[in-house]
Amino acid sequence: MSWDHERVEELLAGRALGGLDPEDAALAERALLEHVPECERCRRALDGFATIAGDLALVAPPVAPPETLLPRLRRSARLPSRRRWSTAWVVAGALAVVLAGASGWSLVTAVGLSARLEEAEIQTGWLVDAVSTATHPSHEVLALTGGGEERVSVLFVPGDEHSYLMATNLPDPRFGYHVWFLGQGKTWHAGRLEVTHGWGMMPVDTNPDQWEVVMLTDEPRGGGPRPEASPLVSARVTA
Amino acid sequence: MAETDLELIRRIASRDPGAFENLYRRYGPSIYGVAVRVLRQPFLAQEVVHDTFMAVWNAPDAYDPSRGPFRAYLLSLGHHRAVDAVRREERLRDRERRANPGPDPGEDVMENVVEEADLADRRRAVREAMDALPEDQRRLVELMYFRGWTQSKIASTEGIPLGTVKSRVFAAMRRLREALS
Repeated sequence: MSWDHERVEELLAGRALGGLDPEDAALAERALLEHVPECERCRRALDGFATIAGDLALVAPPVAPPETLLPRLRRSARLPSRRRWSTAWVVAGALAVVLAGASGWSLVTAVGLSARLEEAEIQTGWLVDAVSTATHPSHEVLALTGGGEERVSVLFVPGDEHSYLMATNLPDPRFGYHVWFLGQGKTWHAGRLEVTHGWGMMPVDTNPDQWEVVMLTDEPRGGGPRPEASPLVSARVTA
Repeated sequence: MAETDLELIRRIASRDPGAFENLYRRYGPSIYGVAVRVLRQPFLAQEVVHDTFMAVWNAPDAYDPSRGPFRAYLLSLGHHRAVDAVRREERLRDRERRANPGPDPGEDVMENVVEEADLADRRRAVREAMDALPEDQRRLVELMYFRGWTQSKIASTEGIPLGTVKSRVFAAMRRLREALS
């Protein structure tokens, strides 16, 4: 196929703005494979249009993101919080207490306290995110049901890529609770649910509306690619 | 003097949390701003910002400096995610009617954002270049970029032949490229 530079540039302009229809998008991808790498003019057009398309975002007025977003990014990237005392400082402080004559128990307590503070901060962040989800006008709640008193739900906004699993009245697990999503022949392990006094919550990097079944199991071994235990609670997702 | 984007991205590649937060402070408001403009739903716009910055944190090497400035690369990442999200939302709305998608956040929100001079200068230049476009070209760019419409949807909605939509969009992008290069 011979390529006309003007036509290729027109496709690249539309592609940069994200507005090509499927047929033109396929043609543009083909041009990117067959023509653009060998054509300096079209390569320059590709990069030039991409830069313009990025900069067009600046036409929109900047808006300060909510204050909860940076702590959430820190959690996602597993970065230390700037507000939290580092473990080193807590250890140093406790050491000073020891040197001042307090018992060595203070050191152990201080280090343990630091870990608990960190855990509490993470949990608080999840709660803030979950409340943000719960207050969205389109939010939905998927209740997982079983035979007991436990109450387990997944909170989500349709179309979003995240959701939150919240549970109360859970009995102590024999082994460990695990959350699973199943659908279209696939199984995805969302993670282990930590439970304290029957209560637990966790963020989930998927949305029930992309699956058919959500379930919670008490896994003897855990970490496997699919559940081995019967579900304690489960829900079928309805479209 | 503020670190350049390239210095920040190099430090992010070596897993420097401070650089990641500085990058967020520099561009978070711009990405959130465009996401709010496209999606008109602050909650979903937050998801766009979160996922955009996590993409940079997880794959800082995906940026190729020979292809253009990092600023444009990052803003494109955010814009693409916002357009994907608005199209997903539209598909869902087709399936079931949604009540109260949330108020239009409006445009009187800039006074709380302090930008570095370079970014503010670029913003001014881009806006001037957009304002200088003929109205019929500017409108098509806005419909594609800020509403996520495809060229055929614009043609059918605006009652313009598809070929005219394509040629106007191309002409607009050429003008913008000349004005901003």
